[in-house]
Amino acid sequence: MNWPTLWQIVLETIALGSIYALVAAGIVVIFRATGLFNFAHGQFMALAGYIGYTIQHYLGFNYAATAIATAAIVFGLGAVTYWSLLRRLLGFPLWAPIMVTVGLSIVLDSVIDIVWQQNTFEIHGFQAIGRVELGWGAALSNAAIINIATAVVVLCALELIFARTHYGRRLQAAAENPLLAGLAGIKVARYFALAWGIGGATAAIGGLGYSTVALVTPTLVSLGLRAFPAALVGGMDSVRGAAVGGFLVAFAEVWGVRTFGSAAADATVFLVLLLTLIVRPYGFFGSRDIARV
Amino acid sequence: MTVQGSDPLPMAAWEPTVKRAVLWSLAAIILLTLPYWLSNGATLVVTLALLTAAGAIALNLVSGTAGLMSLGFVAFLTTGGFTAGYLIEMHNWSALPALLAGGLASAVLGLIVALPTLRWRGVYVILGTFGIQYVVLFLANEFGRRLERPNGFNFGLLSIGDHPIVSTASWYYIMLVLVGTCGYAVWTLTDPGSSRIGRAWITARENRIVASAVGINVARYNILAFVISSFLIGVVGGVFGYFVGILTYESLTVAISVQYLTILLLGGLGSVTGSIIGAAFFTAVPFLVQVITDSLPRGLSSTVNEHASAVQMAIFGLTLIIVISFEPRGMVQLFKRDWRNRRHSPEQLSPAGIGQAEASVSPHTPVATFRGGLTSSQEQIESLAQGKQPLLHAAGMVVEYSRRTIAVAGVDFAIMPGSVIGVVGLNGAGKTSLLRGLSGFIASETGRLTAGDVLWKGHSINRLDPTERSRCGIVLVSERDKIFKSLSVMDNLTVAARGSPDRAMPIDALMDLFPSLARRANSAAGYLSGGERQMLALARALYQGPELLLVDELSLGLAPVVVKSLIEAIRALRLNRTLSMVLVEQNAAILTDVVDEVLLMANGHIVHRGDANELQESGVVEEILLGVRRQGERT
Repeated sequence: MNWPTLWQIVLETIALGSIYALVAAGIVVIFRATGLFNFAHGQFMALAGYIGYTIQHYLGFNYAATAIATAAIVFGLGAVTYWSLLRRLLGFPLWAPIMVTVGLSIVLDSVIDIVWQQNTFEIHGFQAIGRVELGWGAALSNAAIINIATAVVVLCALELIFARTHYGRRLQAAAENPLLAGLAGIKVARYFALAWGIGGATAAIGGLGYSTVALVTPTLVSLGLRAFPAALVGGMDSVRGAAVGGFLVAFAEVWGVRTFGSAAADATVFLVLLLTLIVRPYGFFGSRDIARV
Repeated sequence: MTVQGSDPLPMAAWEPTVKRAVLWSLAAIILLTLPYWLSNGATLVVTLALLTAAGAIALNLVSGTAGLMSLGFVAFLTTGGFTAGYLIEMHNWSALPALLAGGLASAVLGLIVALPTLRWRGVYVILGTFGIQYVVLFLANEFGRRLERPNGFNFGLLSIGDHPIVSTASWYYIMLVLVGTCGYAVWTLTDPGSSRIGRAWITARENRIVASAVGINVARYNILAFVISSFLIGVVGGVFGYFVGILTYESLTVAISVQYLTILLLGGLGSVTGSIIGAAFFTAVPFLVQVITDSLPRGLSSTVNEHASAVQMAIFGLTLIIVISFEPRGMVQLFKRDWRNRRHSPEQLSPAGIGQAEASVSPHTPVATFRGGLTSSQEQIESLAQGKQPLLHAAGMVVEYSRRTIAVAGVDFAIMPGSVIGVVGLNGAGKTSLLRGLSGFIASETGRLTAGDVLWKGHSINRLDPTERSRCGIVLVSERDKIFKSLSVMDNLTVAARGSPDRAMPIDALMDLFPSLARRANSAAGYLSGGERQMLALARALYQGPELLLVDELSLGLAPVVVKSLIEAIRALRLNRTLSMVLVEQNAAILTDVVDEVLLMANGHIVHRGDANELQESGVVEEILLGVRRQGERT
């Protein structure tokens, strides 16, 4: 492999990795708060693509307005999912709420199928046309560069929210011990619903971003599923870890697709997941419980 | 007992056996003659349902019996199906050896998969098995491509002897045999009554630590479950190949894994009958949708038809959500007769359920009368006559946990503003449950206030949850889990919701009250000692601005010198007579100087009440609570 090829792989990795990092961060936010995997995360992403297309196409919004409106709608979807379906399952064995999200993913697949007929649409990003040359004959599209910038901004914002704000600390308290948090006057369910909303909105931004470089298709769902390995490699409870995991998984995918063809995308990414689970069952960046022994 | 009297007993014992034999024979006759009185189409539906049921029964062994949620079904189905197809098409193997070889190949994969999953827990098993199938599907695809079979393997016709199986009815009987064999094998293996392996699986699923402690090799039994289950799924994969003729890559998708786990959950985890019910439902949905669609007005029915598969999946997904939310034990429960005790609880689903009962007591335990004491209602009448309203009034409060375990069996008492009450009693007397009854239960706990009222300033707060009650001013410092370990000491205080400023203590004052907290304000609370944790919990409660502070076991597990300093803090708080407190203690001696009244609890009742010194002198406390210091020894 020569240097220009490697450079192109690195650039592609960064472009795809920023999408994975965003979507994985959404998974982390949800897991960190409620200890749950949202198996409908990929559907949230795909739904965001379709809703974004619909808003842009029928209301004529520009990309920024489209992104904000879509993120708000999927935020609502996430919060309502927690509030209406999962809140009552607090304290049940984990498979129960997780399988409810599996049920939700089936339902959302059907909704996408019925409303948009699995069609392919285009979303127009900001200044998306054109590309930036980055040496050695390699280049990234404007849309990809905007996605990278968006990912950096959103991830930093999430990191700040969790580490520096009152909301972040209350969410952490509620996640650690919901009953104690309730006794301390924290409205636990409301905080959890908010976390699900933020997780959904993050997935939506990732889904829309990907749609500007590619197209809105039902395959966004499998892209969302491939963000699970990214989140897991990062340790499930760290936004920073999700970013690193996102780039690692993107690298595996870019390399796998170049070597074995596009059919290998899922296999290489989930191989990374399996290797991580075998070597470090709790990821590489996850914080261990603080406990006085 | 007379001879005549004993006669009906054997008859009564025989009756269910005879009834069962008749029912089984009837079922057997119906099953065996089904193709003769069903249409060809309907027989095909039943045949499909049976094939699905066989796979579900096999998966149930891992996900239901062993409790390892596997989302990797299609990996085993593919391995078994492709191995059989490869041997049949490329090497002209006959059906039975090819199917068994497919099963064996799948079992080997099961063994490989089982080894890493032993280290995983809960959601990681779901995610890990989910990942494995992508790798297996990719490898299967590559395998076919290398062998120049890019579309999959051609199975040809299944023949038994010289008879090719062509008719739907013949397929029906083959599937019946398949389900019968799988079902019987799994049922025999898992029946805890007759199978040692079955008992081991149940024990390992319910509590792996206890299972290991009693000498059950949990890892070995989990591997066994994986291997047997994948063998059966592999065989089903081969039969599926024969049934469809050509096994293609496109037909084997991750969605199948999701569907099968869903089938198990719909039917009921861990039950062979549940697997069959789930499979029947899954197969029936498309046909039911069709029947309903046909009866709709023409415009609507054509719209639904256009999206038939999406509508079917939506119904399937919605059913999954509804079943898990309302009957997590699955549809199989609808067929059981246990209609009376249908309220499920997390505890029933998981041995690690939260909210355990302290003790089971009869609500009829006699209550000893206290010499010269006032009953709360009398006290309240007097107080009301004086224009004073109790801050909190517990009237006939009964606290129950699941399975009708009564922890507090109807207690009456009132707390006046500014008063401090001590509650003493042995383990299991109902003290903690009494406090929890006052502070409220969260929905996922099994505890409930099942009778009586908790009145806060004259208004019932029965329906308020702990958060709402804490915001009213009733703040509990619980016995265990009293701090957020991952937050700093300061954050442990400030995360709490702050009540009205005239009641909530400022941080400076709290640090003055507990100087050792001030020194560790920025370190993680998980590193605090037991005494510091208790101080931090008290400090947070005071930060919240309580009107009524409930403290569960102030002195539990703490050194005497630490207890002394905590009691000093309580005494300091008592000086301002606006804060009311309920202090639950096993060590009654430490309360004597700080409380106005002591309630002595036993078996969920208040058995004595009165002035602390008076109770101490009377010797009643000592009679009931052993190990309490004598008056002379008091410091």
